[in-house]
Amino acid sequence: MAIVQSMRNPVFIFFIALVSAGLAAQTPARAASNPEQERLNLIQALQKRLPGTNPADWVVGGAAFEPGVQAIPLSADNATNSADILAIGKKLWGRKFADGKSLANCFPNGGKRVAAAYPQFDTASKQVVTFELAINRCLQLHGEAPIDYANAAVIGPLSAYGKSLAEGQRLNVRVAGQLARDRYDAGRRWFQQRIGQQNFACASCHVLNAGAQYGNAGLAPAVGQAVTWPRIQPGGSIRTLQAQFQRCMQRSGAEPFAVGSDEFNNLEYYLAFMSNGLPLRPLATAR
Amino acid sequence: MTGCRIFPALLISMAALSATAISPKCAAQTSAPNARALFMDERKGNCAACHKLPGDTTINSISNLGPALVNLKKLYPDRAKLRAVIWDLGQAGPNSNANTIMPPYGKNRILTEAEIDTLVRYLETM
Repeated sequence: MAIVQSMRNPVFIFFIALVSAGLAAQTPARAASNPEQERLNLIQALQKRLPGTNPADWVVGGAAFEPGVQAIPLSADNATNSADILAIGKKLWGRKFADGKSLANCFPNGGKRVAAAYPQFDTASKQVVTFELAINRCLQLHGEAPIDYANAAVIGPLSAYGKSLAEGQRLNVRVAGQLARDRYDAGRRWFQQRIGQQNFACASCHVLNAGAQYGNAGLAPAVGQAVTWPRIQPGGSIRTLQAQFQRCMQRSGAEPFAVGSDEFNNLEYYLAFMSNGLPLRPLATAR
Repeated sequence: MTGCRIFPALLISMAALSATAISPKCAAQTSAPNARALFMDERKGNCAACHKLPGDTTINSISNLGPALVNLKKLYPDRAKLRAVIWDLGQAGPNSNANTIMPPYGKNRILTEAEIDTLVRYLETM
């Protein structure tokens, strides 16, 4: 599929940037002068589209708009097999490295109340560091092999457990300094950019049509999406936020970026900032 | 298909000029099951993911992303305009919607020109 294959071609990227200009102009985050103002504008736009609701309602994702499923409990304790997933994650979190340390040693307070500050911009590497990347950096720092991000059966429980140590903490992602702002802006551009044969942008579904019914699922508003991942899928498997990005790209007929890529890290940075102030609820069963 | 054969190359040329070039006789012979399959197929039209189709009781869609597809013949008395909406709603003349989520089925070759014609004829009956 030529369109899919050309996704990484700079000329094609320029082209889709041009055709997405109209969409970007319609997305309220575009014109604001700073990320916080963009976040407030986005909330305002979503509330205009979804009157009578607020960001706290949106964290359950599309389920908030699906008849009969609003009552799904948004708690790790009530998810189908969250206890098993957290037990696996806890074991991995506490596993001793060859040097006698563990993941708990890499984070303040053993990781308690830490995950709500991720993703972070790391000025040393000039990279956005997601919570999963921070886990891998810790492993590498201690001479351990990093975890393949595609291995959801390992990174999923580990991320879920680490985030469960901050459950209920309000997301507090910071964008400080021009370099961080550049990464945030890059994430916003990906969010607004139409891609693939189906020509969808993230904003097409999660802003302009948030709350609408697509197939048998409600479309989740962009605000609130970052706080409930990893999530448990029907059938019990676990999926990270960036694995969900991949599914969205596939649905749009585009070749997905790799989990852990700069493109996805920047996108997660933007999306997480949009959810600032909402409490972390990993392992939600929400869609 | 006796009397209603359309050579593919000719069909593409005709479609490029105007969908109204398809004869009424051929329209009457549209294969409803094929059109319905295009409407439902997730790798083709996938129309039911976004639209209700009250005129076809075999299709049970709860979607509301796009408008319910009713009275299309009245809404689009000019077949070419309905065809243009499916081909690329982002550039469908006076009916354009630059912010649409509807895929450009013709422009991005999700559907062939012949498949678009089949869908148009099917939708005109709804």
